Amino acid sequence: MKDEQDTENEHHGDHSFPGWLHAGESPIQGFMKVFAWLVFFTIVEVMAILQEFSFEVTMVILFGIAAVKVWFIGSFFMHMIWDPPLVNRTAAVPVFFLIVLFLAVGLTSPGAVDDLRTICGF
Amino acid sequence: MNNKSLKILSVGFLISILVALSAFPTGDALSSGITGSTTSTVEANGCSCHGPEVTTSVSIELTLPENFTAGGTYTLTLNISGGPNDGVRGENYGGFFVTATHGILEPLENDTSVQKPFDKTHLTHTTEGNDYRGWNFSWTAPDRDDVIVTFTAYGNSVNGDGGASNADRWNSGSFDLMGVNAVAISDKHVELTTPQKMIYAFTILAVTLGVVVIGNRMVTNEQAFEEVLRDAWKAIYPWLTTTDHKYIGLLYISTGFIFLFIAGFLALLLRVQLFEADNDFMTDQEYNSTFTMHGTTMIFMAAMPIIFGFANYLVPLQIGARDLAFPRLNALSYWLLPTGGLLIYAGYFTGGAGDVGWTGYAPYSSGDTATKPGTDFWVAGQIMLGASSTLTAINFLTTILRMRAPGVTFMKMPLYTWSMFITVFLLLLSIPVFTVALILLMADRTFGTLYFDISAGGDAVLWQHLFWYFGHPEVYILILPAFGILSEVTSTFSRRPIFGYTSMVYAMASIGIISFVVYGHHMFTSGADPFFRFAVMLTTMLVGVPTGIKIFNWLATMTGGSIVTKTPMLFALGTILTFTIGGITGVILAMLPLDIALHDTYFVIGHLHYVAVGGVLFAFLAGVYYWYPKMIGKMLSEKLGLLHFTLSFISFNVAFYPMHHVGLAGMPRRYASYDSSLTELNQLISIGAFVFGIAQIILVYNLIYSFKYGEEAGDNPWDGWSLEWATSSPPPHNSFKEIPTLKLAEEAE
Amino acid sequence: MSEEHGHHGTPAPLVFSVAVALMFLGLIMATAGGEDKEGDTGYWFVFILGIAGMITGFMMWMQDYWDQDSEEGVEIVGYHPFWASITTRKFGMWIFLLTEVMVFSTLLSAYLRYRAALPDYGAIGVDCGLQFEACWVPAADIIRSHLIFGVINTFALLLSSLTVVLALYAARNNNSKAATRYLIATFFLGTLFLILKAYEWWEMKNGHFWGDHCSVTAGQDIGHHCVAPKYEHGFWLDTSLEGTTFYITTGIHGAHVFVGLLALGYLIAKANKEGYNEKYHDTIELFGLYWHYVDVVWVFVFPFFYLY
Repeated sequence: MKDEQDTENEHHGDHSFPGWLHAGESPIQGFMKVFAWLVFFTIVEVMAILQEFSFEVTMVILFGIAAVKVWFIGSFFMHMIWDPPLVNRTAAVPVFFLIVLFLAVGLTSPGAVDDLRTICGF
Repeated sequence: MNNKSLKILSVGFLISILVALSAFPTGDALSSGITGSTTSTVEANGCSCHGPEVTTSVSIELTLPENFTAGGTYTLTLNISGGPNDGVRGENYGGFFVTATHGILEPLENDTSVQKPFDKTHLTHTTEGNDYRGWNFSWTAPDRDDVIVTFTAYGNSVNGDGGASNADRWNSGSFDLMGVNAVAISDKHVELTTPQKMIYAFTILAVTLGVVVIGNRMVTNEQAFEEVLRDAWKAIYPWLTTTDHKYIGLLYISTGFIFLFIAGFLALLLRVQLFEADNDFMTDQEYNSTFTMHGTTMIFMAAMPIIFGFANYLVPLQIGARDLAFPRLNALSYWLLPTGGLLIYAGYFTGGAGDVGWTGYAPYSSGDTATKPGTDFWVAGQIMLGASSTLTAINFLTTILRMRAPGVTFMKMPLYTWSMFITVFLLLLSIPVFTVALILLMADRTFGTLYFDISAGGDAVLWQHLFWYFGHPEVYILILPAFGILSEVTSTFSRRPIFGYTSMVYAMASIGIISFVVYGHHMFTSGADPFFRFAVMLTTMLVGVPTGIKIFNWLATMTGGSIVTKTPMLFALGTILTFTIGGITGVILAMLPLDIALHDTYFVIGHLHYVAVGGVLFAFLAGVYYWYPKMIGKMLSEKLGLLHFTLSFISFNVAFYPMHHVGLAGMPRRYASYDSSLTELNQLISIGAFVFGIAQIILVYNLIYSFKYGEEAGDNPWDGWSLEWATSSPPPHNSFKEIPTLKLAEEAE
Repeated sequence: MSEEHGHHGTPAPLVFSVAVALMFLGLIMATAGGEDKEGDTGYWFVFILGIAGMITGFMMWMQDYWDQDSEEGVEIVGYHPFWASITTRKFGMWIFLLTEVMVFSTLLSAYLRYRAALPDYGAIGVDCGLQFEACWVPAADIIRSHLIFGVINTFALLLSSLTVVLALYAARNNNSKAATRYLIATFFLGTLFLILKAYEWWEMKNGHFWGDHCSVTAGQDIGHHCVAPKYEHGFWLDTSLEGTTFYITTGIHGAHVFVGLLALGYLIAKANKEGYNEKYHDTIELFGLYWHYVDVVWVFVFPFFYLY
């Protein structure tokens, strides 16, 4: 029980949102701001698609925005930015394995290899 | 909310489900014929989209010959009359659907009004063909002429508006055609299949046994029938509801051993079939389902449960924890096993168990020709087992990481716990991939998706990637716990700590990581990308290095110690020998050019049994002899143990070594026959297999006999040093009254 | 036998397991059983029985947690500070999420494999064939005319993530009523998501999303976003690989949302009974982690299935 209390105190004390996100006393407003950013990035995504850029530009935009949104949700909503390092390291564990999965399963079909060659320029 | 509200809620759930199920799909008219997913709707409900069936106004005629001879080809004519616009031909006039229980239906050559949709066995109209109400087609009789063929035809008379509505009229007809040697239906009797006969026989035996035991109890204890049952229930109920890791461990181990014997029996059936070069003990389809069920049972219902059983029992004891992190989840993990296993075996009651090989390659496993619904049961049961393993992995990882007693740092954990830690880590990341692959397979089979449908652009190699991404870590999941046991047993029975503890840990960890990037070596002949195959050959050779380090460390432990030759040590020695042989043949198979010749031959079967039986099973037998005294409190008989070991070791080698020769000679795996020049070797293999099976009876006898009459074990019969030997045999309900603190050997009194 | 322990025995795991097996038995026999192996519809009753059993098992399980103290009161002491820095349950939930990462990685890898194997239609110099069968005609094109539903769904999920966090903080600030209200809001947003998705699916399955059919023989440029010939009869999971990958991936995601709603139902029931407050709120955090993860998956699914 005591351990749990200690972990709780760590949470209560330190809700320091990054400077550019800081919004007054309550963390509630900070979360609202995070939500606003998420909505903003979603709108950017949709607008970008409607512009119909080239394949490479579209991929960069979509992946980039997805990464940013995941960072927001993970760090703030999932509390990772304030959690002990155990959480971040646990979350990082599957990265290697899913890269293997994507490369091996996703990119070894004949058509994909040609695409890869074209994209990578050889 | 109280109980009453909960009940209301669940009733509400049920009602909403019922309502949802009653929703019926409506559709547009299918002017281009009944294809794809509509097929099953029409087969079940006829042309239901076109309104309710009306029997009087539409009549269906199917002209058939008087009877048929085997293999003969006949032209049949289907005519419908009646319904709207009768006699006034035009576009969208009529449609049909005809299917036959035997034989093959085909459109006539150059006839564009009839089609046989891809991957289906029925005939239907085309867009052109819907301008008619009569169609001709060809039917080829089956190879047997003693059956009665039933043709089911649906004829649809439409009103021509292009839509499916109640203004259309349709009817169905069923037509029987007898073969020249067919017997009319009333004379036939129902034939039970062999597995059904066996299962009914065993059930009758079990019921008789139950009656005898209950009757005996009633007489001996002078109890009423209800009292005997109540006592039995009182004894069983705690086992059905336990969340204690020790009891769950015992449940896992016993269930695993029961399935081990069932799978072993299936193997002996295979060896009977292979006793002669062209035997007819089993049909090809029976043979296919036998080796499928043998493999799936051995890996998922025997080996893994035994692994989890020992882990459940020992890991908390070895790290000084009271139980696993999530005991109820642990119980769920266990119960998904017998229920999922029974689901897999349900195939035997429905016309044949899954027959797709334990590897379940698509598109055979995703198509119509794999045994139905046996293969569907095979898929669904494994989904349940996959869920069970995932929950186990989560449980053990949380436990080992978080619940170690004071002083139990990572580099002080026993090597058995280390091996389980890496095993469950592999499980965590690989089982979900397999479970998803199974779900995709189930979707293809049940809902008509196209993941593995070649004609739609699906890729059979996708299944292989997904399966082996899991499949290769899976074999390390099987062998790592065996390594853990070997470390424990060799060190205890060499009377010294394991040589090179640190390198053992790093070796297991690197085996774990590398295991994820070697799986392509199962796909050398699949036509996968050449660079991928080359890379994977290198990584496979690499994974042999840490394994070799471990073997040398065990040998060094023994040479640096003084060996006590008790049964656990005998099995450990045997394991090291046979596993090394298996490892060497593994490196041989890793060579891409060699594998292209050896893939799918008996050389692979030899390799896999040397590592799976010679490695996993023998190590776990060592574990049984080692830990039985701790779990049960009695010693096993050494004499019987020696006999069991000697017989098993010799017969194992007699059975499986010749497989390498037979494989090099080109005998393919999964074939029910072989070239007659290999007969003697195959007979030797079969004899060895039977002796091996019989030898295991010695173990069963030993286990049961020692349970009653064995010598008392005491806390630490082998003088081991890990924490499980610090408590009584068996451990008390609450394993540790106080969590102990692990001290260095020098600090202990 | 194990009554002195912290954890009592419970029949819930056995009941649940048997129910799952029954559910599968019913489903399989109803779709592939019977004489002709094409389905024996009488078995749908067994399927429903299985579902009912699963619900019963789940409720039996929850009985043990119904008392707030037994749910959150017991915590296992950890002796190694780094590993004990979060509660056992939170750690377990994170490890569970790792398996879910692998689940969706598998689905997305399969999608990537199939999508990368064919050129997208509209690529220059590619002949897609009369039925567009040689090109990948993505679901995104079918959805484009009705993209608003996908966008609303995205907002709904993002907002629901926010409401879950607000529920947690409300509980921490001892405002039980607000916590309950935010949980209910989350439930409504999740339900809205599923309803809109079902509507989208229905429309696509029946081919109602586009007005024009592409008439390739007349030289109509499919860049004008008409319905490709291969989708003339609707876009469903057995129409083409584009359909299969779309429906299975978004379907499995939807199933995760559905299971989340079931869990949320339990939380709301608990909130109504005793209320979450500054002492008891860990369950909301645990649920929140799962719910945010479902949102994270949508952050990837939305652009790569709905937009591109």
